[in-house]
Amino acid sequence: MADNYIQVNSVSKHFGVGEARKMILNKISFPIEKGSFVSIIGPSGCGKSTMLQIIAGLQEAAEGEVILGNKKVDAPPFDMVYLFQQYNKSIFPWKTVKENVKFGMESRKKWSKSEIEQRSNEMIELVGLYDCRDYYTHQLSGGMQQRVAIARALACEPDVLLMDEPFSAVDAMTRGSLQDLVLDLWTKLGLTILFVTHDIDEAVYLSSRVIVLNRAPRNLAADVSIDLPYPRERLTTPEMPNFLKYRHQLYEEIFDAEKRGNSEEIMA
Amino acid sequence: MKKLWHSRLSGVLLIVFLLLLWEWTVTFGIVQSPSFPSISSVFKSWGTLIVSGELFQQLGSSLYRMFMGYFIAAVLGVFFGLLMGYYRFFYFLLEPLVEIFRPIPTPAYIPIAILFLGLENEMKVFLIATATFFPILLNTFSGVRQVDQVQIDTGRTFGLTSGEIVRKIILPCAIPHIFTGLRISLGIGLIMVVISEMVAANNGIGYFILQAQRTFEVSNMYAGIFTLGAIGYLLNVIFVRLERKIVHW
Repeated sequence: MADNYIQVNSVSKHFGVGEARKMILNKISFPIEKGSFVSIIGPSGCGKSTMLQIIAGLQEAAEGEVILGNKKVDAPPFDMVYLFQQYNKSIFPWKTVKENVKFGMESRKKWSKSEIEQRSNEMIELVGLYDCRDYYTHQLSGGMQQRVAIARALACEPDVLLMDEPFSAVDAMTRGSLQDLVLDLWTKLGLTILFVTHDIDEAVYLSSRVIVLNRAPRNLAADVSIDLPYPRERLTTPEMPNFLKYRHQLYEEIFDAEKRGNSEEIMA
Repeated sequence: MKKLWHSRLSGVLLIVFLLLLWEWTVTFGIVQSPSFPSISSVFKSWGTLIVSGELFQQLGSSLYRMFMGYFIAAVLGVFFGLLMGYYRFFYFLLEPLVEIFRPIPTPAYIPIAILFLGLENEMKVFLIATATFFPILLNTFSGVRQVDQVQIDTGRTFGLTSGEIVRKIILPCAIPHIFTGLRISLGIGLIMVVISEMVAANNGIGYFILQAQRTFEVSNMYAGIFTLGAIGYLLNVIFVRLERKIVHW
């Protein structure tokens, strides 16, 4: 059996009560293999970020459970780190780049002072911010701030990185280089990555598997294995026939799902 | 010439002009009253008081009281502000109490404070602490309330305990607001120390001003008031410097 490292078991979630009660996720199940790069895509409002927060232990599922390894997730587990879309809020303005990167490690209480010092330097180097390590975060561009957040997350040696639309707020050029950085780190460090995005091209380019969520009914619309060779190349990969095939297929899945969803919402 | 009107110099010149106006109204006999000495004689008395050291003695007593009260208020205000801002339970528990006591002008407590604490420092420190407590509490509270959920969740995803989240995330996030409260309270503290010393004291700058008036040493009275202006200004300058150093982002 391909080991199901993370198992999402019929997770449901709704917001509000009574009349205003709104179903967000309806009995969603899927496994995640260790070491895979899985993107979750879907139209906005389909609950993909909520799904990720539930996996991260930041929100509770109304029903169902998330199993990591063989333990139920009921609080943010030490083997996972969640990377926020709003990196500018997530990194701390009163700390320098280096102090920010140390922050996660210090709270884990797993490393000695000198290990923290050394490892934070390595991570800052790895994301290409060594020359800016003593800057405060407001002195950095958006893309650099997200690098700080990535370095801070990876410094904790997580097995799983949960990324919530991490590059949606940076410009296209920066997004490309951050995508390649994440792919590079994923290969080097043997991480498992769950990546939420609404950008189909980004999902195909990065992932070994793409999960599509429906807006209505609120469940899994598709689960597609992306059979493209790694390392992915900025210029050649998107030109591969298979890349275009997956892209086409996913667009169809999403638009079909939207059509079904709209008609169902009208009927309801 | 244009530069002059767009610099701080114009403000300084206005003050010089007003002082000269004061001087002339007296020297040219436009206002003739023993209650209104010329500004030159006020400055002369001020100089004498500074040289003799009396002014610093009075000021010392006042500042001691003020900072005792202010310090107590700062510690309690920040503590309860964090508590009420972060834990809903404490908000619902304490908010009605705060809203009942907050609108009462602190000088209204003077008679009670005298009954229970006497005429000495305890009474004054209590009044100063009470008056300066509320701005610090409310600003700390609103600072905590403005902390973004993303910042709190960042702490959670890195496995911080709820105490660590308060200490390492909420507190630094709220620091700019806390400083706003502390700065407002600095001015209120100065007001309260003067009031309490005018009610009952045998030293302090408030006592000094009142005493000068009662003994017809009118220029000393004005000198005392000027001293308050100077010290208020100085405290604010020091405070803003400190704030810029701590809240550097």
